Amino acid sequence: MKNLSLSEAEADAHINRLTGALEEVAPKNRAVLAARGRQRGLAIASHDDETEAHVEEAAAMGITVSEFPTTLAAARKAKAQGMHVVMGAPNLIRGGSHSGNVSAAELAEEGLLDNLASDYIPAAMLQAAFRLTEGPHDLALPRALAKVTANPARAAGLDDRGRLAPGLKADLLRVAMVDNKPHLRTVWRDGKRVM
Amino acid sequence: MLQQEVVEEQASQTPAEVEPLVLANARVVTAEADFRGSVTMIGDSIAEVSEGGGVSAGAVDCQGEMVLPGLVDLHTDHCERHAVPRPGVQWDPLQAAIAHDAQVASAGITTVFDSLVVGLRDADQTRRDLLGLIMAAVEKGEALGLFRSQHFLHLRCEVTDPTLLDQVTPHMDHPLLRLVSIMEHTVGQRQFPDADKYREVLVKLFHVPEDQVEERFRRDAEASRTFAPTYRAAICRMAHEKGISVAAHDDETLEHVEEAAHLGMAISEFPTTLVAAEAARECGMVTIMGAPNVVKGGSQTGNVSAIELARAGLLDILASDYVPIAMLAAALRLTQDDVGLSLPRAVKMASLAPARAGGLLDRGEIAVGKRADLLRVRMVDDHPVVRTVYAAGRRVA
Repeated sequence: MKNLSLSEAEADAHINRLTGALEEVAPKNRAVLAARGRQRGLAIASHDDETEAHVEEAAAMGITVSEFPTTLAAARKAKAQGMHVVMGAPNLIRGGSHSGNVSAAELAEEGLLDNLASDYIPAAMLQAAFRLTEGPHDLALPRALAKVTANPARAAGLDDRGRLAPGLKADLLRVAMVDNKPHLRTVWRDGKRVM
Repeated sequence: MLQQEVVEEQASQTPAEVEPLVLANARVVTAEADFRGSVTMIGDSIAEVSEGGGVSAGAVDCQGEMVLPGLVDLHTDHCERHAVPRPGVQWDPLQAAIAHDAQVASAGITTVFDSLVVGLRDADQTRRDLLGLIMAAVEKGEALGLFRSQHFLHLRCEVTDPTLLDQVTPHMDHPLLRLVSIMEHTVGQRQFPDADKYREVLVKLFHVPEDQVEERFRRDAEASRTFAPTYRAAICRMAHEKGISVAAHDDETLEHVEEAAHLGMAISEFPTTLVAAEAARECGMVTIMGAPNVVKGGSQTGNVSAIELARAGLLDILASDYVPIAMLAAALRLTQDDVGLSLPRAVKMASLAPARAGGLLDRGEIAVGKRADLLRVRMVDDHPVVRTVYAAGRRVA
């Protein structure tokens, strides 16, 4: 209601409309989009999976990324199906989802979290990766950073970036630590300084 | 790592260039003219401005792209936006300020007055407490050298909040405070002459419950009649004692402007009518309009258009308001035929004019001795694209 600036009555009408859409058009759209995506070789993500059935349906369509699963059960199922599990970096930093769903930290604890996306706060990505090096997660820095670099690159089929290795794209950051938080100072893209 | 060590490490690793840095073969835009030439920075200031398309050894060849003065933004709500990125979500204030800083710097704004509302009326205490936290964060970011652009503070004081004076007084000595503006949001005047429009904004944007709108209208009108004029005068007095400029906000009528001028306000921010803008000019005040208003071709709330004021010769200063990247686009928009400003005059509205109005005499134009705040800008399909940004001689974006 707040995000879409709707009154209560408008919000109810909106929800009713969406529920109708779910029953009629959603399954058809889902299948067509997945088929077209597969044809083009695109990575396809399933969004806000809640149940094991949601994940199974997605996996059966060749969907390889589970984006913001809303329950532990859905995330476990996605992992078991070999899908990449993506969560929002703001969720990890804030210690929970702002709409009350499963927390990214919980998934990280179970080893279910593969990628972090900025969602709605670009600066949150780097912050979140470093947060994973602290307790209770205590990941090694390379492993934590992979969740915002190599892992998302691989999930999207970009094999030319995401790691510091000879021959890969020179996309580099210089980062200072201030109060134990990463502070981005300089950015190179394709070897060219851009910030 | 201790903070002190961070500062020292930064100082040792990224000093301002002591070797001259030359931007050559550029379309250089000074306060008076634009010409093919070069600009030389030494340390944090501009050492030389010269004509000619030559590129000496070691100079940056700008290939005819523009070199403009860094922009000075007197009004942006953008820092608050980053601190509350979604309704109900508060972000760490320092991290928010850093993210905001990166965005304004990459939009070519090298000096920014972070505009913060004092007097949020119905907001909850957490939201109110955010003001002090953001101010502290901006101060810390400046002190530790974490920002790309230079930040000052602009306190936007809402005189219909009965607790305003208690809230603003402790902040009046803040070292980064350089501008105060005085707002009075009540139904039937200034930004909201139309009650229905104001009702819509209160409900949809500020989440005031619909059944409380009438009560809000009544309270604000009463505030306007009773303590608002006293608060207005008191804040002007406090600010002027400290040498801080004061801006009037959303002036609608001749009376609004005359009252502001009488209280010594030098700036008219976002006048809502042609009449008010004319009166501001008569009274010797400078007029600020929002850059998004220029780019979108009109005011979001249906008031006077900035382009109309520019055509009438009544627009002095552009502020990014709520879209940092609009600043430069708006300035360039004013050079199109329907307004017809020269490039130097248009750019001045986003650089030299706001610098002067904000009391910053060391910047805002490409001239020898001024702060080396410079932008390299390429035009793509008639839209300016900021390519490189230098602040005080240091590359920051």
